[in-house]
Amino acid sequence: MKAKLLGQKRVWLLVFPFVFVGIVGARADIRLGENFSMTGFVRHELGVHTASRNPNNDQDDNNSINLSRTFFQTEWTYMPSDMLKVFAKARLIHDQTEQLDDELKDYDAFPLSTPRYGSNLRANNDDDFAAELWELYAEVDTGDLWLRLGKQQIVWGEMIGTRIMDIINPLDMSWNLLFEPEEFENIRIPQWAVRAIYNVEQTAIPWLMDISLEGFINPGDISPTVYPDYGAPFNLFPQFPPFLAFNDKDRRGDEEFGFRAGARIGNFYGTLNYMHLFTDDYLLDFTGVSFGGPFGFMINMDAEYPTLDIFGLTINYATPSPLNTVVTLEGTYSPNQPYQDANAPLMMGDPIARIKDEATFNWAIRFDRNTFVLPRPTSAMRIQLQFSQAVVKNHEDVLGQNNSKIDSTTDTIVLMLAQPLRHDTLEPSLQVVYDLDGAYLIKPAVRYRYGNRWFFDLFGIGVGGSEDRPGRFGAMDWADEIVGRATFQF
Amino acid sequence: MKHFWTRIGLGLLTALFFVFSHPAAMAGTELPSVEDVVGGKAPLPTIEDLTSGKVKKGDLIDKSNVELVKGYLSVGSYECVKRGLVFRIGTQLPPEQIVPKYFIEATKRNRGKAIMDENGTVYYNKAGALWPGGLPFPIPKTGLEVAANVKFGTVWDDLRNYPVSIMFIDSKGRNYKRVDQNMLFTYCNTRTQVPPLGSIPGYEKIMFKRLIVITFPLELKGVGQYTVRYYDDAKNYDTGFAYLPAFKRTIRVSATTWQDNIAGSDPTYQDGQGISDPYSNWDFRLIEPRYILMPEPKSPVPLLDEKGEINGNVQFNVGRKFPRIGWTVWPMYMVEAVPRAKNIYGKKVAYVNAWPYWPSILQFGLIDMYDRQMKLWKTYISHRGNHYVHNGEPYTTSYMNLVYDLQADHMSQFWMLTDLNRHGYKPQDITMKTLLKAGR
Repeated sequence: MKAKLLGQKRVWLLVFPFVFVGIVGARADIRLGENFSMTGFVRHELGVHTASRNPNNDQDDNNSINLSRTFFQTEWTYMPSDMLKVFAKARLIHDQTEQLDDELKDYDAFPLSTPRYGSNLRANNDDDFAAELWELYAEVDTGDLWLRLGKQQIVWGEMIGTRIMDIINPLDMSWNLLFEPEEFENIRIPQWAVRAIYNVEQTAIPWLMDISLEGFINPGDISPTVYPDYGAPFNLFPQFPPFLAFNDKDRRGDEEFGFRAGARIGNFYGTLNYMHLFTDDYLLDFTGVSFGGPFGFMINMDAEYPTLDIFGLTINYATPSPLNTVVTLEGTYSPNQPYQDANAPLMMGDPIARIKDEATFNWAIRFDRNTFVLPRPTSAMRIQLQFSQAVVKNHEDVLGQNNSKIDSTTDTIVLMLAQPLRHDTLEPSLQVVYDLDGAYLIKPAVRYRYGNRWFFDLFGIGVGGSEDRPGRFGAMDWADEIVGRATFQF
Repeated sequence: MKHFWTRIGLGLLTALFFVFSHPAAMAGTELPSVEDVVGGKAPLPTIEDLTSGKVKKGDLIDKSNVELVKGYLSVGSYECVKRGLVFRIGTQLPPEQIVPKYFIEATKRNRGKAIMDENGTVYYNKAGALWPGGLPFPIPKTGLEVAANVKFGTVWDDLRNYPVSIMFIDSKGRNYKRVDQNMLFTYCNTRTQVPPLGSIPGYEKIMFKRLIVITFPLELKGVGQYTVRYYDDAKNYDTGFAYLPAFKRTIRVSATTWQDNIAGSDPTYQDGQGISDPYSNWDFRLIEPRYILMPEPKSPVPLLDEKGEINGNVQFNVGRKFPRIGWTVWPMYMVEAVPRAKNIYGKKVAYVNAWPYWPSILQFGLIDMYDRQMKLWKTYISHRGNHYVHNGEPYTTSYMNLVYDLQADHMSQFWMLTDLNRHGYKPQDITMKTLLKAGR
């Protein structure tokens, strides 16, 4: 019965593109009324696995497909006046990966669909199909005050390939990790929150311009990072031994909030930020040993999401012609970043799970420049070069994922190149993330736009290197893939 | 004998009457000069006057007869006709139907009080005093004064384009791509119609604030740029921020990468509104005032409907390359602009409207852009014709501007509807908050 239903859903998603290709004319949005419009896209994405077998999964042989998904996404906007806008982003997604590759064993392609986090507005809880309202919010603009209320993404920060200030929403990494061309847009999990921005009038202090105050409050819609299910092509964790028992102490119902002030002085623009959050990834806290289970005993641990207080700063500056380079600096300081305690008592040769806070400083600097590399009249190449660093104060006292050692500093360089060609119909790009401890992520890509409706992406992911501690690129050398996407937008 | 001299006198008077009522009969030298037209001493001649009656209102000009009017076309326009542009001889309007009364009054009120520094920044009577509005140099003496008129002779105080549809046209005239965007402007200085007039308190250093947001296609929808331009843009360079919906981030951008193209189209950022970068980047030379044919101020039929779609009655030549519309004679200043530093262009030759035939926007009406080998590369033609009256004041705007890359045989057309002085935008209406609000 289930297979039959799933089969029907697949048919829908094959039919939708043809229906929309047929009905969409030359206009931009589809007008459903004077103030009501709809737009969206149909997309199919196929990721071919090009590396060795994922060691975290129990597979007999290597899988050849990492991802096969069809998306039907619609965006609905109701805007009766400049003061009010209601927006909804609805998604139907069908995942065929498991059906197409016999080497993959059963897994849940949509682990976000858990009853615990039911307010994600997923109407169903299937392993290979999701129908959801991804975003749903109302905006009210009263002039100097702007409010957005509802399920939304809130992004503070400006860096690429790394999340220093952009940590308000958790990520859904369950289907393509961090490899999508849009980075976090399609995987940043929208949460119910109120966001407000207040523009301060430009009169009191003439040399201080573009002054704004901003804040958000999430009254309790807290969900953690969602990782791939065990058995999924991108599963990051081996199966836990059966004598470990976890008690998930999620933060659902607790409040997160933050505020910031921004202003421009001359050609410098900056913000001062504070955020009160909870970690998106759990940390383990040993609570005791009990009898039972297949081995006769169970090691019990709480999976906790401790509080984070983040103090942040952003500054950017645009050097004028002929340099035409934008310099962006972003940093956060957290006095209470939680880690596993390296000095906890030992059990079976490893420290027992205890949580210890340690002061941590994350910062990055980026240089952006549009530069003519090819003979004109092509567009300029967009060049972005970024250095980021994480500094942990007493790094020897704490441990990372799977009790891995933490360095005093972790340094990363990101280079991003993009060269639009042929009136922006063709755009090759290259992103290289290099971990100075000896690991890398390389992402060459090309986008081809055909007319107003179609665009096609082809990109590759190469990860590897000698730095193979958990969470570093060298530990993911099994994840290489080549991905193709065909998108019809309407 | 007395009767004889009376007859001779009457004969001479009759001859003079015919000559002055038909200046073309005087074949060239007797035509009123552009200076006389600008000074109000003579009416603007028609193309019939200029061609000794060989070309008349309503005639179609194409490559078979373009030589008749070659002397009144820019080099780029002439090249377009040779490549298939066909235009109809249209109608000019009297200046009082082109220029709003408040702007004429501001120009009269402030006449003779404009001074200018070496970068083309205009002040009122003394350096540092902000220009209150109106045309600074109704009779310009130099190329820089001609250009300064465009920058400081802004007719409007706020502007909305909704949408600007950028049509990409290939060599066969096919429109193969389209990008739509909305644009908002508010001027903080030189205000002549929407209160507060002159300068807005607190914003004296800012010339204008601008917001551009892409509305189509979905892939780019919500991409926006918020720009601040300063009164003295040679000393204080533009400030720019962009919102990228694909990343949901507002980032700082360089607003001075003038030589990059706009969204993949043929014009570069320095070509916006004719010459968009600081005038200190260019050496201007006034070549001569001329009578020039370019699109008429008021099209007999709207080229766009109220939603910004091209009217189905508009005829095109060479696929969708050249709309067939009315062109008429304008008094213009021919100005050469040579870049002071390394540039993709060797020079630009601009045709700038002369007072009092001063349209409400885009007074750099025609521009020919030459490559570094001084070969004609691109041509820009502002397709006027969108004329309307709002609150009793006439506004003369454009329906479309095209930039034609003659070397690559590729064209970008910017179709737009323009609201002037209708929305009363304040500086605080165009901010980073607006940028975020307009995004996705």
